[in-house]
Amino acid sequence: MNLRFVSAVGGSAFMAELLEVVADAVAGVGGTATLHVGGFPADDGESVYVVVPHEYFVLTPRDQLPTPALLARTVGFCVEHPGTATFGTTVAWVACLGAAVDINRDSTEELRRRGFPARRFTLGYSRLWDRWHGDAAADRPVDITYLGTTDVRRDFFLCGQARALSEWRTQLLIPPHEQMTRSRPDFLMGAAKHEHLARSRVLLNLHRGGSHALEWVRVLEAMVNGCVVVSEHSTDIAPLEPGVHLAFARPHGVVDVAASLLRHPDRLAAMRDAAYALGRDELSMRDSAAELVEIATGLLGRAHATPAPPIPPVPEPHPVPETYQPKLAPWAASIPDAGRRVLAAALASRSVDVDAVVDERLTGNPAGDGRVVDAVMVGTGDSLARGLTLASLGQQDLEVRVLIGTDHDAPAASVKRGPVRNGLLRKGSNDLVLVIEAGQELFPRALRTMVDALDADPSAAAAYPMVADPAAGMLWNSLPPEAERLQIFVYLGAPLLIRRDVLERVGGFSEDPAVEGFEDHELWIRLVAAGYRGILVPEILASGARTRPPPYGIAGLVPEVTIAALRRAADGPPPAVGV
Amino acid sequence: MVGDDLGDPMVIESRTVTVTGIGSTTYPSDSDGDGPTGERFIPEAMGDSLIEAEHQVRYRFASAAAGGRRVLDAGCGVGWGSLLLHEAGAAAVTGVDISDEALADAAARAPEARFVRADLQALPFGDDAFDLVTCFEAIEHVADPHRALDELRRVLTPAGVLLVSSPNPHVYRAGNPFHVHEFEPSELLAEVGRRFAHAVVWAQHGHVGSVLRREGDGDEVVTDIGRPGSTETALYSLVVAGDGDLPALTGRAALVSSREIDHLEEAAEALAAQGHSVQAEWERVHAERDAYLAEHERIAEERERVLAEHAAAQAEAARLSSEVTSLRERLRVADRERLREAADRDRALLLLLESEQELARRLRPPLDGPSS
Repeated sequence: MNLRFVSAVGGSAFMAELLEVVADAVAGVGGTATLHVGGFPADDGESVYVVVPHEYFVLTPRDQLPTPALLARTVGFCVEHPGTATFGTTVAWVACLGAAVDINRDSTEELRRRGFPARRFTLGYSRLWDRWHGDAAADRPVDITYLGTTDVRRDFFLCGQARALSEWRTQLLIPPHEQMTRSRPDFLMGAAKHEHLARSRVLLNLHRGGSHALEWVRVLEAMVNGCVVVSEHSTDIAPLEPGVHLAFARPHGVVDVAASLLRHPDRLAAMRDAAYALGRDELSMRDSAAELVEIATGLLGRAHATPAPPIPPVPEPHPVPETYQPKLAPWAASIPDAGRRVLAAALASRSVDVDAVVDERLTGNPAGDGRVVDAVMVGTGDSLARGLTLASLGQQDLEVRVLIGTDHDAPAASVKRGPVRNGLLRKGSNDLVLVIEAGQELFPRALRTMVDALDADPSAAAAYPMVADPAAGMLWNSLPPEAERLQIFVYLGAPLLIRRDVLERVGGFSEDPAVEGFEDHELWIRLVAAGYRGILVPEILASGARTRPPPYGIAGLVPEVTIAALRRAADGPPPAVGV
Repeated sequence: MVGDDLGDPMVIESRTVTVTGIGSTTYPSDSDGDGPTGERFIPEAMGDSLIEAEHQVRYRFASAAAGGRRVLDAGCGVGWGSLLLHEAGAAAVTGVDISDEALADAAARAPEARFVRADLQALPFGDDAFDLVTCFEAIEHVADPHRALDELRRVLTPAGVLLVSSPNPHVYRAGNPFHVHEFEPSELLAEVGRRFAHAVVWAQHGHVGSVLRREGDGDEVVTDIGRPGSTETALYSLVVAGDGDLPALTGRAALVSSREIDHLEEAAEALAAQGHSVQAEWERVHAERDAYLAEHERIAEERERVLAEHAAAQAEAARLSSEVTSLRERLRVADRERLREAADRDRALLLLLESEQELARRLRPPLDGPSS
């Protein structure tokens, strides 16, 4: 009997890696296991197939799906928790399959409750994961890491603990919740992920959406690499002992609990060693692997015993969430097109005297190398907001020449951010320019971290940290600049540290009134289109609100004009001025 | 005898020397300085000057008593007077001086005379060795003029005659560094008079004169002294003394050309010119001094300003130092507070850690239910 682990073309790396580990465990108990991608390998009459149903059957074209006979010799390897859409897909397909195993306690029970005799596949230690090998003296330069996909709930709790996080050396890798098929700055795969865990002291774990179940794969990967898990309270944790093998906390306190462990290295080391020993010595996959072999062997004997149910439909993809994309404002919807354009033209015609609105401050702490960073800051007359930003710049480990532009005459509908910023740029002279908005706060080591990132990567054009907006409970600047994503989402903004020469080469900031409120987004579109690369600093090193389009601005009046301007930016030519 | 005690006097051989100066006990060395000091008359250097007339008149006055006598010229210098005494018919002339250089010159000038290097206070001659002793403008140079007078008295025969002169300190320009003691005329007369039975003081005045004579006439001219001075006002006093009868001597006048006056006028003009130069230099120096004073005043004001600034800076430094001390104290308190807060926070976090684990343990059965 051969166990054939099959992944779909375009399937997630997570699932492929999981099947690889299970296949290795099967081989470890004497089974014959092979890995495949795409369609089922040719039927040799001795093969049983293992797939992750909610992914394989969704991604594989219907005309390439296996026959009912092969499906009857297929084991569904289930990983999704009840209550999710993907669990529904899993249930639909498990009905067509010969057998199912599930790595979670709750979903195993739910499958059984629905009449499917699913077996629990208990995950455990895998030699393929272990990049630490129990070396207590190994260096761990990262205090806290986080490897969860972006999620409103997770982001909310991370934002609330941003300041506490900034006190530690953190590496927060928060990829989009998408099918991740390749490595990227915010998503590590295979050995890179395990080496990263072996270099980290604590892994934070937060549940996605409404889930409460422990993310076992992530937890095990951390445990076998000596990275202590601090998770929000979870179900299905046995045989893990809270406070012994890992630590738990309510979601808004995971950073405080992690900090407590980090402040007590002996306690941390004891937890690390206990978790590693448990994983290596007790959490073996041997029994589950042997059971999987047993199940597969049974399937070979009873193939075609029962008629296959109809193939379930493929679920519709989730709608793309909106993130401040230009759209007609509700208040403008009742205004005729011609009227909206007249209003937009009136807003666009307002001029601003750039030279008359410049203030200048020298702040920060000289680093001894004489290096000074220019900071361009635009505010709308809110002195408290400016004061907050200036105070945070004063705490940086670099000297900062702050050039402040305040569009005093700006109505709520229009802030001439582009012309004001360009005016400030002309008055500066230093090689690095920090673009920041009044009201944003840089945590003390933010600027130094960004500068170091650029120094270490001379080919990069800009660097930016993740930003927490505690008021909105949102985390942004958390994804790398990608041309396709920039066409869909508005997710990058100030603060941004950019090389002056790059900024000058791309023509500075757009002065097109149509992109008011989208200046940073528009700049990133142009930078990426011109081939420039940005560095996402994987730490939350700033807080404050993101630049938003003005409530009564041109984008709300004539969004099609703004959208067209952003599309033009992607095409490469300099930004046009005028509506 | 004193001379026996001192041994044979040293006789200076006749030889040709270049006269560069004069010497005696308190004379400057002949080799010192840039030229004649005037303390010793050197005819080659001082001819046609008042000093020549002064020497001429003294030695020619003495020459009247020199004929046939053994003469000691005490303080002979370069021997000019010794030569005159010899030419006046002295039986023998012995010159004494303290300067070897002067004596060498004297020997060359008056080969017939004998010259001996000796101190007037200890003459290397026996008693009664001389009939006539001249001591012109020398007694004021010796450290112990009374002893010198004793010596001059000792070497004279009982019938001998002493002619001794001294500048009058009341008239003579004061401050001559080579003169030990200048005798007032009455003092000189008294000192000499104590040692001899007879003593007469003569007054030697300096005069400006004019001579009217025909060429070829002898030296005999009638001399009229317009306003003869008294002994007390004389520039020099000369005492003639002896135990026997004093020789019949007549007053003499020696005239030299008035070129010295011309020279003096030239010198005056030169001095006037020099005065102008000095005046200009003085004015320049004065102006420079004024500039220096102004600069000094400016520097003094600057100093005052700097001192004031320094004082203000010190006050500011003291204030800042006090502020630093205060801030340090506040920082220390803040640090202590921070450490206390950090410890509190650490305890709170630890408590949170423990309580959350306890919570997790308590949540476990209700969340997970019975093990499957």
